[in-house]
Amino acid sequence: MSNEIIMKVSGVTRAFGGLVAVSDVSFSLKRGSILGLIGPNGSGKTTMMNLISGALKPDSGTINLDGTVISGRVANEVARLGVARTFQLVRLIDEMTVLENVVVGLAFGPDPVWGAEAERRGRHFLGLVGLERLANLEASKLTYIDQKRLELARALALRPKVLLLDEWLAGLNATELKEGISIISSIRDLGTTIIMVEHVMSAIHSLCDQCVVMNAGRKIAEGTPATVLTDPVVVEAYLGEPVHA
Amino acid sequence: MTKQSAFPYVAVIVATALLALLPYVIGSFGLSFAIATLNFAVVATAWGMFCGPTRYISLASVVFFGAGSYTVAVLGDYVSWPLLLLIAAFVGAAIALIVGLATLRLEGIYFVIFTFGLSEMIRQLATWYEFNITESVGRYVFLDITQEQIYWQLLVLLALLLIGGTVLARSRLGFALRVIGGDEMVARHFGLNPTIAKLCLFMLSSMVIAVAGAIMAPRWTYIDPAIAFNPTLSFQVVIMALLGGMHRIYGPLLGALLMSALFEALGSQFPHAFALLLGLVFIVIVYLLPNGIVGRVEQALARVRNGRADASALVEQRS
Repeated sequence: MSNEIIMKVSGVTRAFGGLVAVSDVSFSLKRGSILGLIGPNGSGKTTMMNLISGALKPDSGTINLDGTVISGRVANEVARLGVARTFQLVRLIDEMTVLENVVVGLAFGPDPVWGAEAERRGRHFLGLVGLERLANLEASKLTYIDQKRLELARALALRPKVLLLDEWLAGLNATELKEGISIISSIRDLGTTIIMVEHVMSAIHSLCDQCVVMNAGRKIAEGTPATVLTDPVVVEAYLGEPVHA
Repeated sequence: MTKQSAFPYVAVIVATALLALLPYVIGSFGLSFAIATLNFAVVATAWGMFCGPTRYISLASVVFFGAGSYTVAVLGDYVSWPLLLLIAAFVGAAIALIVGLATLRLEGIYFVIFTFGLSEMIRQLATWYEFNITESVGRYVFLDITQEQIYWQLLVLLALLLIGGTVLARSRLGFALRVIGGDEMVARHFGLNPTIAKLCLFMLSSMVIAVAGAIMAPRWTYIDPAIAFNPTLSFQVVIMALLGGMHRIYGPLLGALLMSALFEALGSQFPHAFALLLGLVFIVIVYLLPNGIVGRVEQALARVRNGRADASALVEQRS
């Protein structure tokens, strides 16, 4: 991790009708770090991810990626500028093979490749997540964890400047979780900058360099996992007000 | 994905060369049937080229087909034949561009309904124009083009379409279309602009259908809006493509061959129950062949292959 800022979110607001899902949120992300975006359900985390990835446009505020303003651009442009994502509910192309699904990340990105070169690189990215054996299987035949791995490989194949993981660890059992955490830390070691929305606290503790905590659309705390998770404001947001006897 | 065997190209060229000799051996009745079949094959394959990967069901085939026929009917006396075909292609692409810009953001059933409405609107519009402006409903097409020439032109168009379609399916653009058909949201987040890709393909497919309409125009001698824009064609094409299977380039072709044989049989045996039987065939396809004949065959092959793979895996485990 360096001290260089790769992404800067400044005063971003987005409302759906009367509901302000994200309200005046700012934070910055250091190159090569993992930032955990946490908060109770409905606090605006996924909306924040959608704003970064270009699925949604902010009503106000800007998002700057490595010197380029990406807020307000459509998703396919943001993808080419260097943001890749996984989806909260797995989205693979079911009738394509595992390898073809990874090629989706290679064929249309900032540095597109096709043909034999795409297959070679595709296998490389499958190797990173431990799926190279299953390259020719139809994606719909994969187990849940393998589908998640494939989504990750596809996102990595885009060679993003920032990778967004939207509850990538959700729904895994204890063994799978351990494996999942080690995969994420291995891709961090390759120099990938990551923003992860996550509810699994053990993963946040072991992976994140920095956390942003949201509640009801606002940023309520920011800092290392150890500090924010013991912050009374954060504990209150998750568990409600302490009872005074 | 990167299977680059030359077999499909060789097969298409050889088959085309052989079929080109057909008019010399079949009589005029046979030729007429062959022309109808080829026409269906071209339109169904062009339809499948767009609708297969994107999964949009278009009921507007006849709009482009009719536009092609009308190009010939209106300009036939003034312009040379190759130029006519070129103009028809251009007209088809232009209509597709306008329609596509308006509709390709629609999804599922809305697109189906819109395309059907469009074909009805164009038919009414053409009727109104002919009746009020030119003050005659029909037009005569007297061109010096023989039935054999129509056959050969359709054959060449089909060959070009199949070769072009295979090149497309193997290309990055073809892959992009599969991604878009599979999950548009994924496509967007991985650098694709679904609207532009769909629009290009829609124009390409419509262009081919318009050229087919232009080639077929001299066959009728007389055309009016009810003939040129007859919506039955749009439905027949959908049924053919569904019967064959629209996820492969040769699926609609197979469907077109089978269905035109069936249409021929039904039309001559039960001329009054034609629409009824067509409906029954459609029901059978939807219930029994959701992915068409090609889909069924592939499913069966996959089962055989998986059976073998499982067996060899067992052997590996034991050794």
